[in-house]
Parts: sequence; C-alpha cells; structure tokens
Amino acid sequence: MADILPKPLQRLILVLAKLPGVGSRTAMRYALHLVREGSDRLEELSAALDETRREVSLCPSCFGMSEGGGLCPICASPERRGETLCVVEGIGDMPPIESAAQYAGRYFVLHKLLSPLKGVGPQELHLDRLLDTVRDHGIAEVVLATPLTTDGEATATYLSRLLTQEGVRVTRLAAGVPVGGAIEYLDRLTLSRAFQDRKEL
Amino acid sequence: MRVVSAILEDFRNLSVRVDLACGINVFVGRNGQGKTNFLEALFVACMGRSFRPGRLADLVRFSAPGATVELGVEERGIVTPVRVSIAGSQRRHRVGGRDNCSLSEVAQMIRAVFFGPDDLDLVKGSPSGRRSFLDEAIRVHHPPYERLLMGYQRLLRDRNQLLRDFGSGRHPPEELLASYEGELARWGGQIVSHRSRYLRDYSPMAVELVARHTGGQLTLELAHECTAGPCGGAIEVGDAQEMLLGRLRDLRGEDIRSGSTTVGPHLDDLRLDVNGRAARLFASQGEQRQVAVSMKLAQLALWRQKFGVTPLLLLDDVLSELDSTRIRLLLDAIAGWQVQAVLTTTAPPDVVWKDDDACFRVKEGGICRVDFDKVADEA
Repeated sequence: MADILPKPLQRLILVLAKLPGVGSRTAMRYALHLVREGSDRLEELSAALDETRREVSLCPSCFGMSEGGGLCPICASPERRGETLCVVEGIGDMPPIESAAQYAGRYFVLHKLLSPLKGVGPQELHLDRLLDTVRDHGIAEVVLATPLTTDGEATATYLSRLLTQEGVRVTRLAAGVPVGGAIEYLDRLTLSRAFQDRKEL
Repeated sequence: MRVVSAILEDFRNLSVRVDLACGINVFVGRNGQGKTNFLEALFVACMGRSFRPGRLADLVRFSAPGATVELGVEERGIVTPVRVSIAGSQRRHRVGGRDNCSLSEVAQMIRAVFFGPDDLDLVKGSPSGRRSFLDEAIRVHHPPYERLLMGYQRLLRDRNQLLRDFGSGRHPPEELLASYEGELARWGGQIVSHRSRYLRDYSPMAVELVARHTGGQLTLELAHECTAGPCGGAIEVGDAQEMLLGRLRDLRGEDIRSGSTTVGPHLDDLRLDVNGRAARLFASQGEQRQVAVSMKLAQLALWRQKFGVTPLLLLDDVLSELDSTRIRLLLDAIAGWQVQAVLTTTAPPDVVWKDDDACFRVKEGGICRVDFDKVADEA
C-alpha cells in the first residue's frame, strides 16, 4: 500500500510503526501528517529527536533518565532523603509514585525483572550497582516496588534475600483493597491477599 | 431452577425445539444421529464452552452464518430466556433482556454438569486427569484458584529452567534458586491446601454415594497423595507452604541432576481404592464406570449443598456398561435429589419411569417425544 510513496517516507513509516501502540496504518497517518504540515514541523521533530539523542542518558546512580550525562534531578536534589531507596521495574513507574507525593527518597530502576525462562538473570539487572549504592550511600531502607506479578514477586523475593544480608531494612509495597474501592467488586485473589496482609489499628 | 425448553438453530446438525420434562429426559437414537450434539448445545448455553475439544466455530452447521441456542429457564414459575449465539469465533450470551452477559452472570442463573464416556479416565487414567477433576471443582467454589494454578505453572517452568542452567554448568547464584523455591512453595502450598480442604468436604460425599449407588457392594476410599508430605485431613496454607519448601530444598540436588522439579502439586494424585484395592488396577470396567459416575454426582451434590443451585445434569452414554439394578439405583438417586437430568442412550434401559420423566427419539437431526414403551419397539 505504501509502495507508491517516496522511499524516505516509506522508511519513516517503518520506523514509526515500531513505537508501542502504533501499527502500520497509524504510522502512515503520522508520516503523512508530518509531511503535510511542512518543513517547520519536520524540523521541530528532528531537532527534538537530535537533542534527545545527544543530551538524554541513563543516570549513573539510579539508572533513571538524566540530562547531559550527569545525575538525574532526583539523585542531584539535596532535598531528597538519602537513606531510603525505592526499587522500581521501569522509568514509567516513577512519575506515578512521584505524583502520589508520599515518597521522598531516591530510586533505583531495574529496567527488567528476573525471568529464568526469558534468560534474564541477576546480572542483567545490574544488581552490583544496587548493592554499591546501598553500601556507599548508607541506605537504611529499601522499598521494593516491583509489580505484583509472578516475575515482579520473584524479583522482590530475590532482592530481599540479597539486601537483608547487607543489614538493610527491606520493605515491600502493600497489596490489597484500592482506596475508594468497594469490597463487593474486588477480585478475589486481591481480596484474599488483603486479608493475609491486614494490619492492626 | 429447571430448563423447560430448548430451541436450537443451526447448532451442528440440529435445528429443533424440545420441551423438556422436569425429571429425567432420555434421548434414544443410534450413533451419529445428534444425541450428543443436543447435550452439547445445552452445555454451551449454560457454560459458554463445549465439553468437546475444538473451536467455537465448529459448533455452527456447515455453511450457516451462525448458531443459536435458547433455553427457557424456569425459576419459581417465571421463565427467563437464556440465549447464546455463536458467529465465527464469537460467543454472546443474553439473559432475559440483558445482552452481552458475562459467564458469571449466566452461572447465577443456570449451570450444567456433563458426564461422558471419557470421564471413565477419572478412575483408570493418569493422575493428571484426577488433578484436573479436583481443580475444576475447586475453581467453581473459588474462581481465583485458576490464577493460582497459572502462576504456579509459570514459576515451575522458571525453576526448571534454573535447574537446567545449573546442570549445564552455568551457575546462577544459589540465592536465585532459593528465591524461586520460596515463591513456588508460596503458590504451591496454597494449591495443596485448597485441594486438601476441598477433599475434606468432598470425600465423605463420594464415599457415601458409591455405597448407596451400589447397594453397599463397593466401598470407596479416597486419599490425597501429596508428594510434599503426609496430607491427611485439611492442611493449613502455612503448613503446606513450609512442607513444600522443605522438600524443594531437600531435593534440589536430585532435581538439578534430573533437570525438573520432582515435588509439588503438579505431581500429586488422588488415590482411589475400591474394597481395599487400587481401583485403577483391580476394579472391573463396570465398577470403574460406577465409581466415576458416583464421584461426579458427589461433586454435584456438594455444589448443590453449597450454592443452593442445582445444576442441570447431562449424562452422555453412561448407562451402557451398568447392569439394570445399578441403573435403577442411579436413576433413583437423581430423582431423589430432584435434579433435572438429560441422558443419551442407544437403547432405553428397562426400568420403571416416573411421570416427571420423558423419552425422546433422535433420528437424523430430528427430535420428537415418544412414549417409553414405544421407543423400545422402534429401536
């Protein structure tokens, strides 16, 4: 279908179609839209891409996103409490935790979860860096905020074994009834977990 | 709850309307006429899936655009239509005036239990059949159990991969294997505990029904054969998890050598003894069938006790290897529970039928009601 289009446009469509949630038809719509909007819009996009490529890298401390090869704003901030560390699976998990405004410590991003079947072992999670961070920065508590899936739970279990040996307090995000949620409509596995993890008032 | 009518359109070879009696409905016909298809239509309307393997699209008559089954379900004098339509690979349920109902909404209205010739495997087949029998029953009582099973299977494959990694000389940290053993025991222990608690309720029922249906000639004993350790009576989740974790640790060396996990609920069994001997090896074909039918009925009895809803009982060709005394005992039991049943047979058994029972002849996709004494002559 895209055969009649100029070759560069065809390549652009193929590149766009690799983005999450974008199929070949959406990719073609985006590409044609950009061309129709004219060279200013293309310039804008290409400049933004270029700058991202040059300036954005992983933070050497937490493996979150940082600018200009330095520490990310969270690691660099003196306001952040340095003795707690929150371990998350991906960078996408940080903004929601930030907007919940309950946590004021630092982060560590794994980028992957353990999965022996997919060949992801501890070495793929740069855990040596995690242990270095815990030792060097005098971390007192590590909050494990990996997802509550089998991989996420297994990763949390492994990390807690590893970190407990370091003499650091290890906690796991609570699982249970969502705030504003009616018990009646709660799925039963979550509900049974909520009962297991109930707490004294 | 009972089904008063069933209207089938383009469901396999059937397009018929049948008015069902509230007792035992006997469908008589030669092989290949559509008896089992009729049971299947009832089952699909109640449960949203078939008891036969294959795709949903296979249920539609060849060259027809779609199939529908509409049941008239009566409860306290009110008849509610429950309708399933199948087009391509899509299934849609309508209950009363509500379209696109979920299966759990349908389940609140009506359920069905099917028993066919393959269910004989329950007694003489491999342990996996008995595990699925247990698991399916537990799922009905506790739907999230399904996710426990899936999570456990996933973690099992993960541990097996780690075991093979060890065996092939790559050395993942011990702690990693220990973590996966912890998770596996956490999930597996819940499964073991669920099964043992279900068996605590279920076993007495099965034992009683086997005795009653055989006039006391057969005595069934059930035992939860748990690879993790002794598991008599109901076992608490924590205890099961601890027991399983201990065994996983003990067997780690062996498991690394064999490259697979040799303990856990994926290998457990339900041992069935009849008159003190293993039913799988020593019971006759007829006895095995009898035990399997009674066990299935015990599942239904428990279900009834717990939910107050009586499922529709579908029996496909189960009478053929039972003698007439046992057939009578079985039919009496069904009548005694006031369960509505639909059963198929090639020849109607020679027993005394009640007013609540009805007989139908199935021939080349046509179904019509006939008298019990007439159908024997035609067959």
